Amino acid sequence: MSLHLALIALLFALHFILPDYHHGNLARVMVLAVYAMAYNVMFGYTGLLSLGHAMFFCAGMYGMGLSMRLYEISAGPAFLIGLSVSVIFSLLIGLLALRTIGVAFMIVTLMFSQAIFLTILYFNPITRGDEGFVIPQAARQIAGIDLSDSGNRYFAALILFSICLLAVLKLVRAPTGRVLIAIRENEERAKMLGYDIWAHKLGAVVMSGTMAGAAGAAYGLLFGTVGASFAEVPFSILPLLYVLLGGPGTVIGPFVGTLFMFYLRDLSSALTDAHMLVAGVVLILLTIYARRGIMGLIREKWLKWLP
Amino acid sequence: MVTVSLLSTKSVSRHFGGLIAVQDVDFDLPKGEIRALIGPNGAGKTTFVSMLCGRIPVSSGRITFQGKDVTQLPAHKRIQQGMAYTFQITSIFAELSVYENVALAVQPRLSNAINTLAQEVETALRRVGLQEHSHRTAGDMAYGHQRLLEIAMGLGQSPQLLILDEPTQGLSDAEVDDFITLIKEVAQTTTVLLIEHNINVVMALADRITVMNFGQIIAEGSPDEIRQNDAVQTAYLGG
Amino acid sequence: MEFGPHLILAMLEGLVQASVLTLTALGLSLVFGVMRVVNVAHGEFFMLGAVSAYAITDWLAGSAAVGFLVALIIAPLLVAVLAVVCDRMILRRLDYDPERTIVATIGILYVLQQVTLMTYGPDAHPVAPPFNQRLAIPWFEFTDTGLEFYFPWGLSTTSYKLFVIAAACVAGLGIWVLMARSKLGLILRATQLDRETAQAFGIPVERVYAFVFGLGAAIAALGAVLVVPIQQAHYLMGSDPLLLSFIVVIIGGLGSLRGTVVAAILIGMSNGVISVFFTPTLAKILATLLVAFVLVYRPAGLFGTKVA
Repeated sequence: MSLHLALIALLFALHFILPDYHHGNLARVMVLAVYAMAYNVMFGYTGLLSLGHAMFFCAGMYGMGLSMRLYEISAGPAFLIGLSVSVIFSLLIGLLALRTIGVAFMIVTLMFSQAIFLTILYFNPITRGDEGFVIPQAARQIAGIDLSDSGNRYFAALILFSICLLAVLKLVRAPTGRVLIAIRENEERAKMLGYDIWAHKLGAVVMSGTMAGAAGAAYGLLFGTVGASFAEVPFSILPLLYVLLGGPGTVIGPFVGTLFMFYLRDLSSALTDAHMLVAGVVLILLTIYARRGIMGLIREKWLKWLP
Repeated sequence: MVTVSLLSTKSVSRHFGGLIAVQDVDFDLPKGEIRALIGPNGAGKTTFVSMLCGRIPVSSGRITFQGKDVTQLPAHKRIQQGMAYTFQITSIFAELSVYENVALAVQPRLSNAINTLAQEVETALRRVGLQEHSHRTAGDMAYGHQRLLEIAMGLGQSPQLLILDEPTQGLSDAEVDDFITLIKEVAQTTTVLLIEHNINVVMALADRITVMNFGQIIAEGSPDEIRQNDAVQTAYLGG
Repeated sequence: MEFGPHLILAMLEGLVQASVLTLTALGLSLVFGVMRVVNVAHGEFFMLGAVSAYAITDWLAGSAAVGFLVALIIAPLLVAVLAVVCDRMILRRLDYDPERTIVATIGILYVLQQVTLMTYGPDAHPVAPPFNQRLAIPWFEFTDTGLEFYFPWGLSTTSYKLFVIAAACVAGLGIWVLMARSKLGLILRATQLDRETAQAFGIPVERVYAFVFGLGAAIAALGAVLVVPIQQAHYLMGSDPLLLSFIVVIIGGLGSLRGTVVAAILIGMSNGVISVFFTPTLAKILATLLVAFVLVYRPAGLFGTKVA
């Protein structure tokens, strides 16, 4: 617990120290880390590998964005709408996709995500398709606090990140968290200990989808953009990459992975346009040599108690 | 003495396509008994037991547990009702610690219990003699200990009915003796149904024996009765 | 154009697409059938076939027909070699674990795609077809004098497109002969049925896997070489074929080559027709949802027996 609070405190302190460029980056990293943490709940803890998480992110992003753009709802309620859309959407997807397992599950999530992406493109007049739309600065205010201001934005991201980080920590330490891990480790055994496997998996999907949606809605609100690129396949692969790198099944891992990859891509984009190349290489190396990720390796070798 | 039926089946059958694995089995297990289920390989024992605990559905027939019809009840609900099952091929959480394994077994009924989780886990481990190994990774232990862990998990559930599928397979002679002592003690509070190939274990433990062959029950009775039964001799020697 | 001729045109286009799709999907199906792994980078092997064809014809710079013929032979071979390298260096190290392979092939996808981007840039590169006569297609109508044929304006195809359909049929037949009638095919089918037993019989499973992976990539690349004179080579051209191949293989039933062919024809045709009459986007939406719901409710597909 103290480790995680220390991280939050550190992030809080960094606000005052960091130069503008990194300050903005870190705000982005925190929101993306929430997305990665959401993915970790499903993949790292429950063992469900989805290839379509972008759809959950976009459920929140477009739920929020479209309410603001089409119905001129203000930022606060729009965020809540985005969140509600995420809950309902992840429930729906869970009910369908959980009828499959393993490779089929991966493909089904990929397909649903692709369908969502294509649907966003198809309804171009409403969603502005690939181009996306901008949420004007004037609209991005909650209770009089201007979210486009970099300081406020950073704190908003930090608040979201902290809430989610502590929520995941609580989940992992609770009996339910133990059950998710058991399902990942040996599903049949968990079933024969009396646990309702399907209900637990559905819960994991809904929690994961909702958190991803929260990240999506927050991203749109804080950085002002809503676009179909957030529904494309690469954006579904990114959280997998962040989690694998940082350490699946650890609480801090997703944040570490997101931070690392973000800066890796940032640095490499100075060299080449092909920024997904780095992602590809890292994925291959990780899956052959380092399946436990950074924090996973640290946990195994030195800090056995790390949640 | 009044015998209360804990588990019974009526005309339970199971077929896979054209193959009939279990045919029309009427079975009754009174509370407090140690029952051994024996028979040659392929007799249908594991299929039958899998239907009892809900791992596979019945093709026809009815299963009653503690007076309630559980035929359509999914496996995890039957476990919640008081069944515990150990797998023929040891199935534990190999990457987790011994403590975690038992904790997962104990956890569901904890809200009603007086003791804490740690105490319950300790008790279960102590009964099988694994209390020293609490912090070891389960998959690192010797096979015999893993078997014991699985039994500890079964005990940790405080079940009404403990179903053991070939529990002594792979155990050394000393471990088998310990196992016999353990089950005799367990049987004081729990009804036990075990599938076994080791005849010594069967004779030492069983109050009654059910013999299966070709998907049907061919004999049922006390150890002495079964020992003298011609049909059983034929099944084992001929089959 | 009236509905009749328009439909014929759409169906012809669909037939061309179906031909290429059949080859691409067969490659994916073969790999899954024998090796039990899903290769997400399959579309990139397809793309590399097209890009290699462009590179070869560009380099040879002589007659379009000769350049194309050389590309038709060399490009699939090049892609096959690359695929075998991927198998040896990466897939084998993962012991062909299904989930890890998917993640690794996603990585391979990005490496191949982005390296192509870096080498050939983001523009599309055309490849000249070896021959390309326009062939007008007759249509009929009922007049006072009875059934009359005429040539509607706009209803035409090209000799090259017909060649593509023919070539795909020949290639498909070739694969069938290989799988069903040759000793090599027997070895492949044996490995598909039971890896351990095949190994016990002395079949070098690892080499078979490398061969199959290469062959699967080569067949897809062949399809790409056939289609590139119609479509142009582009570094992102692999994602649509990948999606469609997935759809075909899943609906046809994972592991069934016959199912793959039937599904490819059905889906290629309907995709082509829907694209012409509605929009390509709608066709794709329907296709993706179809795959998802087939997997959810009928995981065995039309012909297959294995659940993924």
